[in-house]
Amino acid sequence: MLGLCTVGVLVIYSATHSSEQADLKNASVQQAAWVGLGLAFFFGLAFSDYHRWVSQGWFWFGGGIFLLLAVLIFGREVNGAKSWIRFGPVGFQPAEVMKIAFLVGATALLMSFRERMEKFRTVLALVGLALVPIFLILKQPDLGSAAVFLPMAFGLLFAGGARLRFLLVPLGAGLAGVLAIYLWVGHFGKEIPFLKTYQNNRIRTFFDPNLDPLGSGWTIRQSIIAIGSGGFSGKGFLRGDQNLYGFLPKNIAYNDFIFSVLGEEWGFLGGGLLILGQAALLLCIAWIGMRAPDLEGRLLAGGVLGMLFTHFFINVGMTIKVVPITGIPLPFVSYGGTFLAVCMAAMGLMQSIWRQRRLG
Amino acid sequence: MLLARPTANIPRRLQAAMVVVLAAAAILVQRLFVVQIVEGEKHAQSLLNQTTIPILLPPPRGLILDRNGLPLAENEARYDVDLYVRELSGNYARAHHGRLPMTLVEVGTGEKRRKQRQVDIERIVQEMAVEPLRNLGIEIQYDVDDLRRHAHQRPNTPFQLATKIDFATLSRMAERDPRIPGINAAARPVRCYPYGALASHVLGFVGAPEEQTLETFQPEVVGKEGVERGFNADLEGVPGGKILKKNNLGFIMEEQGYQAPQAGKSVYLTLDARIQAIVEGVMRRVGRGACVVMDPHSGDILAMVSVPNFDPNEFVPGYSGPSDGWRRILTDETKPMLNRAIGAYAPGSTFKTLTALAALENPAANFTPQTVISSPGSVYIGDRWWKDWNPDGQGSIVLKRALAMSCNTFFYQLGVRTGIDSMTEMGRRIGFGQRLLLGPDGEPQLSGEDPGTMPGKKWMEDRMADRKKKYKEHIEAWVAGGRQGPRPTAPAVERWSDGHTANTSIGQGYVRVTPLQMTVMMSAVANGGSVYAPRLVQAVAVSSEGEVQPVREFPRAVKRADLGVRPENLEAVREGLRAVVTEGTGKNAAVKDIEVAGKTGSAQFTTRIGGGLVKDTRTWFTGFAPAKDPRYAITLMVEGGSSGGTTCAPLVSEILFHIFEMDKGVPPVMAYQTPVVGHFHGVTASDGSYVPGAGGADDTDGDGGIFGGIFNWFDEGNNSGGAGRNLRRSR
Repeated sequence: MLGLCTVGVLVIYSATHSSEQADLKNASVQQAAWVGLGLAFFFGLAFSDYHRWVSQGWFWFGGGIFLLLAVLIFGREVNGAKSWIRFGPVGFQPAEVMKIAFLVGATALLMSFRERMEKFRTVLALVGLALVPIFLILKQPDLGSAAVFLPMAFGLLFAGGARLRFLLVPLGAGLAGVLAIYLWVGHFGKEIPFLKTYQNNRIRTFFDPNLDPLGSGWTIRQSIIAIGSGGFSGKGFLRGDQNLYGFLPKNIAYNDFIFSVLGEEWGFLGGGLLILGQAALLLCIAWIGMRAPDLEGRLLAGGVLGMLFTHFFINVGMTIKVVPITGIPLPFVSYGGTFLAVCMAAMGLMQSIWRQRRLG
Repeated sequence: MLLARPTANIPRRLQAAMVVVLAAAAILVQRLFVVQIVEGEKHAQSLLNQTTIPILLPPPRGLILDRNGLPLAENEARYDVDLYVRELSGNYARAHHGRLPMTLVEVGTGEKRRKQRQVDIERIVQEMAVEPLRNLGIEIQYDVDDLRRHAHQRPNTPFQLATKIDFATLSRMAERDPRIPGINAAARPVRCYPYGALASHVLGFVGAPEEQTLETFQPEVVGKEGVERGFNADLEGVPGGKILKKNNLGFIMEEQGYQAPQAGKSVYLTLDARIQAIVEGVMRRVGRGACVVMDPHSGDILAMVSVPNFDPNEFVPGYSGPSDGWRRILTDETKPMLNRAIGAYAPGSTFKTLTALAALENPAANFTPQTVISSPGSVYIGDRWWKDWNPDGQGSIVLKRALAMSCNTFFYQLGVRTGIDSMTEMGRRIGFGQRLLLGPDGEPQLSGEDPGTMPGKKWMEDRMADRKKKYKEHIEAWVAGGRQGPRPTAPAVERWSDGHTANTSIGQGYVRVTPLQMTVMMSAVANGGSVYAPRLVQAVAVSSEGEVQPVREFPRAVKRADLGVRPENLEAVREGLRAVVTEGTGKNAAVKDIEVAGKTGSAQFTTRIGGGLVKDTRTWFTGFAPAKDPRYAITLMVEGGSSGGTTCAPLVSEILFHIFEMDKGVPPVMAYQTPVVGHFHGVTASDGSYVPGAGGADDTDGDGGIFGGIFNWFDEGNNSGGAGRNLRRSR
C-alpha cells in the first residue's frame, strides 16, 4: 500500500513538474502530505475496533449525506462540477468521504437485516440506501463517483450472503445493458436518449476514438499513444514527451490519467507491476474478508473490495481502452487527498479486522 | 449464532471474488501488453508525428568548373523571405483555438480534376504575415496556386514568399524581427551561371522538380539538361534537416537533431572556358551552327559550342531578370535548346578524309598516295554520270591534290575502288554511327547526343527489314480496319549499289556525322592514328577548405580504337589536308605563322521554315593545327552557310588565331555572355576585326552553287568572291 503511494507521489511529480500553474506544481508535495494524513487515518482506524464504527454507521452516513447536500449548496464549481467544499485553504470532496460513510452505514443497515439477509427486501433496502448518495452525487454531476456505490453495494451483499440470484440477475442485466449500448451506439451509431450529450460522446468515442480525434476522442487517443509509446521499459522518469508536451491534458494527467503517465515513463514493466500490486492489495482484502471473525468484518471487506476493485479496473481500463472514460481516480496513486485518505481509512478498517481475525 | 445458519458459503464467494480480481488484472495486463508491446511501435510513431516538425535544409548545389578551376556554374546568395507552412499554421491554430480555415481547392488536371478540402493556407498567410512584412517594406509576391500546391505537397520545405529582397530590407528585418513563427529571412544558395550563356549546352540548366509524392526528399531544383542533368546525382548533395519539438498547442519547445546539409560535389569539365569564350565570340555571327575544339592527344573537349544558345540563368526558379525568358527559347524555330555539336548532319566533302583513309589501308583498292586517278568533269558509275563541281574536272591527280581541291570524280572512283565495306569499317573504328559521350557504364553524359549514321550493306539490310516490318504492320492494320482508304504502298526495294558507295564516298546520301565525331576523326588523323574517347568531364570531386578530393575520375586519353593506317599513309592524308589550306578549298582557314590543316565540306539540305522549303546548306570545316605538331583539333559547322571554304574556314582561322594568341599570353576577355540569337541566313557580317591570315583571294575554282544529278549534292568551290556575296547578302 505504501509502495503504491510512493509510486503515486513520484508519478504525480512527473506529471506536474513541468506545469506552469502553481497549484499543479506542488501537487506531489501536497500528495506526500496527504499520504501522511492518510497514514494517520490508517493507523487510527487500524488500532480501533471496527465494530465501533459500524455501530456509529448511521451517524457517519447521515454526516456524509449532510456534506453532499452542503456541497450542492455551498460547493465551488470546478470543471463544471460542484464537488468541493472549502474551509479556508483546506478543501475536500464530500463524494469521496461519502464512500466510506456509505460503507459503514450500509454495513450497519445490513447488520440490522442480518436475519433476513436472504430476502429480496434486504437487497432492495440496500440499493435504496445507495440511491440516496448516488442521486446527490449525480446532481454535482459526477457520474463516475456515483457509479461506484453500486459495486460497493454489490460487494456488501455478496460478502453478506444475499442470494446469488438477487445479485447475479442485476449483474447479468447490467452486462446485457452494456451489450445493448455497444450494439446501439457502437454498431448502429444511435444515441442513448436520456444521457447528456457529452456522455453520449464519450461512449461513442470509446468505440471509435478516431471519430473526433481533436475533440472528445482526444483524451483516449492521447492516452493510448502515451502508454503505447512507452514500450516495454518506458522512456524513463520525467521523460514522457506525451505528458511533457501537454498532449495528455495537464489537468487530468496527474489524477485520473495517472496511469497513462506511468505507462509512458515506466513502460510495460511499471504498468504491469502496478496492476499486479493493485491486484495483490485486492486479494489481501478478499483474504481478510475470508478470515474475518464476523459478518460485520466480511461486509466491510466486501464493500471495500467492491469500491477499490471498481476504481482500479475502471481507471486503468479507461486509459487503455478497456472501458469508457470515467472520471474516477486510481486508488493510492492518483492525486487527490480526500480519496487517498478515504482509501487509507478503508485499509485501516481492514487492518482492524485482520487484527481480530479468526485463526485457522 | 448467525454463522451456524446454513447461509451462503461466504469464504467460497470471497474466493470467487479473488478469481474475479485476478481475471480483471489479467485482462488489464493483457491489454497493456497489446498496447505497449504489440502496438508500441505504431503509437511511438504517432507520438513522433504529433510532437515533431521535421524541416529540411536544402544543400548547396555542387559547382561545375572548367579545366582550370574556373566555375561556370556556381551558387550566389539570394535573400528570400521563407515560409514554413507547418510552423505558421501551427501557430495560427494556437491563436484560433485549434481551428484552421478550410477551403475547397481544385486539384488535378483533365479527367482527374476535382475539388479537395484543404487548409486555407492563403488565408493564414494573409492574416498572419502580409501586414507585418509590409511594415518592413516587403511586399510579398507569390502565386496563390503555387502556394497551395507547395503547402499540400511539400510542407517540409520552405516556400519563398518573396525572393531577392535587397540587403537593406534584410537588415531591417533582422533589426525589427517581426517574430512571425514560420517566417524567416534566409540567405539561400541559388544556382547562377556567372558567364551567362557561355557553354550553356554543356552545362544545361536547373529547374523545379516535377511534382513528387509527399514522402521523398524534394530538392528545390534538379538538373534538367546537360551536365546539370547528367551529373545531377553528384551535384545535388545531401539535404540537412532539423527537428522541432512542438507541444499540443503547436508551440515550438526545442530544436533537436540538427544536421547540416552536405554540399553537392563539384564537376570538373575538360572545357577551357577561355577557348569556349573565343569560339562563342566567333560563333555569335553564325545563325545556327556548332563548333568543337579538342586536344587531339587526349580526346579532351576544350570547347563545345552550339548556336543559337540560351542563358541558363533564366531557367533558375525565382529568376527575375530582364529577359522575357525561357518560354520564347522553347518556341524559337531556330531551336536554341538543341546542342548542334552532338547533332548529326550530312558531312559533305569532309567525309572524303575517311574515304581516303579506308582506301589507303584496303589492299583490294590497290591505292597509294602516289596512285594517279584520272578525274574528268564527270564519271560514269552504275547507270549514270556523276559530275564534279568543276565541269572540267581536275585532270590526272594524286590524293594530295584531290583532297586539296575536294575533287568529287576522284573520290567517286576511289570509293567504288575500295568498296563500302572498308569505309564502314573505318567509320566504325572512328565511332561514326555511335554515341561517344558515354560514362563508364555506357550511360550518356549529355542528353541529346545523336549517334549519326554510318551506312553500309548491313545497315541497308536492316533498313529494308525494318521497312518491310512496318509495311506488314500497316497492311495488317489496313486489313483489320476493314480495308478502308487506299492500300498502303509497298516500300521500294533498295539494295546497296555502287551508286550508294560513290555518293557516300563524298559524304552525301545517307551518312550523318556529328561535329563531335568529326573532331574525333581529325584528332586521330592528327595524332597518328589513336582514336580517343572524347572526354567532357574530368572528375567529380568534393572540395572542402580549398582541397579538392576526387570522388570519381574519368581517365584521360582513353583509346577506343586505332585507325590502323600506316604512318606514311597517314602522313600523306595530313599533307593533303595541309594542301587544302595552302592551295585548295580551305585557304580561308589559314592563320599567320600557324600551319593549319583541314578539310572543307558542304552538303545541300533543305529545311522547312515557316511552311516553305528553304535551301539550308550544311557547311563544314574540320582540321587541326599546327599541322606538324597538332595541339588543337577543330570542327566548325554552319547551317545555312554558303560553303565550307567561304563560310567556315574564315571562322576557324579566326578561332585558331585567338587560341594561339591566348597560348602566347593574350587571353580573351571573360564576360557575361548574352544568348546568341538564331536566324536562317548563315553568317552575318564579320565585325572586320579579323582578316584571315595568309589567305589571298586567288582561288582557282569556278562559281559556287553547282549541283547536279538527281542526288542533290552540293560542294564547295566558292572563292572569296562567293563569301563576299554572302556577306553582302547578310548585311
